[in-house]
Amino acid sequence: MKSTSQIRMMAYASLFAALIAAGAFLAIPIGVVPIVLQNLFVFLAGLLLGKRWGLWSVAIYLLTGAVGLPVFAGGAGGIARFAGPTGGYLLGYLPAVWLIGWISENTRKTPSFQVAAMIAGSLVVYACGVSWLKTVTHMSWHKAIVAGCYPFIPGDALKIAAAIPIARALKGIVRK
Amino acid sequence: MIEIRSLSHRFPDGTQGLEDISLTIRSGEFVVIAGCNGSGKTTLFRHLNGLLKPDAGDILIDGIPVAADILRARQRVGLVFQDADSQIVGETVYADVAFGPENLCLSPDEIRRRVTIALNLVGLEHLADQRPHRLSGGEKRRLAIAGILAMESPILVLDEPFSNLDYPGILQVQSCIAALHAQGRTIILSTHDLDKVAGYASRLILMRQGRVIQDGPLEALLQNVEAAGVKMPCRCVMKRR
Amino acid sequence: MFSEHASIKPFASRMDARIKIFCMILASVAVILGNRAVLVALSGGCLILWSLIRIQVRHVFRSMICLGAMLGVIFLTRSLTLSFSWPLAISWDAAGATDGLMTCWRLILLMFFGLLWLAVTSHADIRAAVAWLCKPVPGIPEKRVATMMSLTLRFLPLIMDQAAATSEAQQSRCIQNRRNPIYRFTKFSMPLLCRTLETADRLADAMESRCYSENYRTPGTENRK
Ligand SMILES: Nc1ncnc2c1ncn2[C@@H]1O[C@H](COP(=O)(O)OP(=O)(O)O)[C@@H](O)[C@H]1O
Ligand SMILES: [Mg+2]
Repeated sequence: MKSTSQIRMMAYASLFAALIAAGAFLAIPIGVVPIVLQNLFVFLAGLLLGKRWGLWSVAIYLLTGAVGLPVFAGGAGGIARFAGPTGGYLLGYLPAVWLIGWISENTRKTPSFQVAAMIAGSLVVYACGVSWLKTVTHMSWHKAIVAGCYPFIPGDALKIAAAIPIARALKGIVRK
Repeated sequence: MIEIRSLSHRFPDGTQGLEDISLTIRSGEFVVIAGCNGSGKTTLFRHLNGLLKPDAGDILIDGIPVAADILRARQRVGLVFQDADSQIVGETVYADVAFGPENLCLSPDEIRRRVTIALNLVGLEHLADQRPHRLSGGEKRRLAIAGILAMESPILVLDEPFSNLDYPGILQVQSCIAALHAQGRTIILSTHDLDKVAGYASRLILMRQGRVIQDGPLEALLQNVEAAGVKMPCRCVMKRR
Repeated sequence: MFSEHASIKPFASRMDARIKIFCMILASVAVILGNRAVLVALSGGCLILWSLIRIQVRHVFRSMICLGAMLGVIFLTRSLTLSFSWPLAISWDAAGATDGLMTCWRLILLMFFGLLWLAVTSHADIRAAVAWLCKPVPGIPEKRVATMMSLTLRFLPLIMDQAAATSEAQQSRCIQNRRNPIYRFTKFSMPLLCRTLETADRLADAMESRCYSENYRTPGTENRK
């Protein structure tokens, strides 16, 4: 019985790794701005798969990209992608998904805790992303935050709001 | 009425999807478009709905170009895709059928009326509260049709509506389409198996490699369908023997 | 000068992926940490390998555009200082510009080494080499890493196709009339997730019915000894 659920979770985690990769290409136009879905799938990986398998899915996504396999948007990326200005956001997904999984596993499964988990996860992503952006580009903290955080907050709020009903509906489909 | 005038489409990768297609389809016709896989049937249908833009030529729906008012074109021409599963949006059968009318911002009463009528037409009213994923293949296909019917499109375009169905499923979909045609809707459907429509359709269009190679009354063309890579209906083969 | 040589590409392709990944790691560390002299040496090496292996420019092009954007951002933000107070003033910072150029140089080298590695290593070999690297790490079953990487690559085109189909079906039911972004996110993601989760479910069943287990040896690493 144990191995059954293990294989299933492995397939789900691989699927979420692929969804996170695809999320960099998939965008929903809101007004005139297309909003990319990548971090929505990171949130959902944490909420649906929990901290262990959520971490696996993000780690596999990053590892697959790091060794040059085609999962990063904009062609072959490899290590250069992590060293580039946006590398911090990618690496930030690792602690973020773990944190989201941990909070949602250790609290009651109410929307308010899930929202809190996703806000905490987003903060972690921005902490990693903005500090790396600042390191690479030598911007001041203020400018790094203005360029690398503020523009994305409205989109993230919408994605957090959308993740709640999606996670609720999929709870029954993702068999643990 | 649909008028297609020398329509061509080339995909970004260089594949010539459609080449110089001209057709006129009058209201109330039941047209079958046949051809083997890759002959361009789906590509043609996606143009009728404004999902693809022509590289040359134009498409008029009741005299107005599709590109001029895509929303109107999508209401006039209901497109039922081949893969029923990827069209299903709602969490219940009822919610899925309501998806289209809700997008049209109709009043709740009007939405309820349309959904009820559509479910009755395809014979799914008893399953309204089911989860769509539980349905059988034929039921899912009819649900996809109902989702389009609720848009009250006078023209129904069905892409390979019989694929992957078992025999009861085929019968269900067949009688559903026949009933819709009898109500006066224009039906355009694609298939590569003429057996399933031979009793209903009036006109046959054969496609090959993105071109229309034959166009005429179904009965007259049945003898030369094999040139387009389409299997001749069984009864014609028997007659010829 | 190298053009008369036979290409070393076949040789490099046959080389054990584990050696190549090791070289890659060394090169990356050197690129990231090295000073100017090291970068010059590495650039020379990269150019020589590049001319020996002859990579098709077509494959490189897309990566170049993306990299170009990254480099532009880095260089401009380091060399120019924009003050947002009125009147807008732009000042040029020479030290920052040198610094920015070094960073860009490192990134270009990293990408070129990456493209070389991809040109001479098949996807299967890359997975096997990664699994081999994970072997000594405690708590990480290397077979799972290799399997999950190949599953991820298998799911990716499936997801893109499914997303395109879902999007078309919804467009033909006039979804663009809806302005509520949360509604759009939910209605787009739900069918995509339901469908692909079902596929993952079936795949798990199929793997199990073919007796998948993490305890067997990883194919691809052993038979190359
Ligand atoms: N998005 C696309 N990009 C490139 N080629 C395509 C695309 N979609 C379809 N094609 C090509 O166009 C041709 C017609 O395809 P299609 O209309 O799907 O045929 P049918 O529906 O008759 O089987 C095929 O050769 C197919 O490979
Ligand atoms: Mg088709």
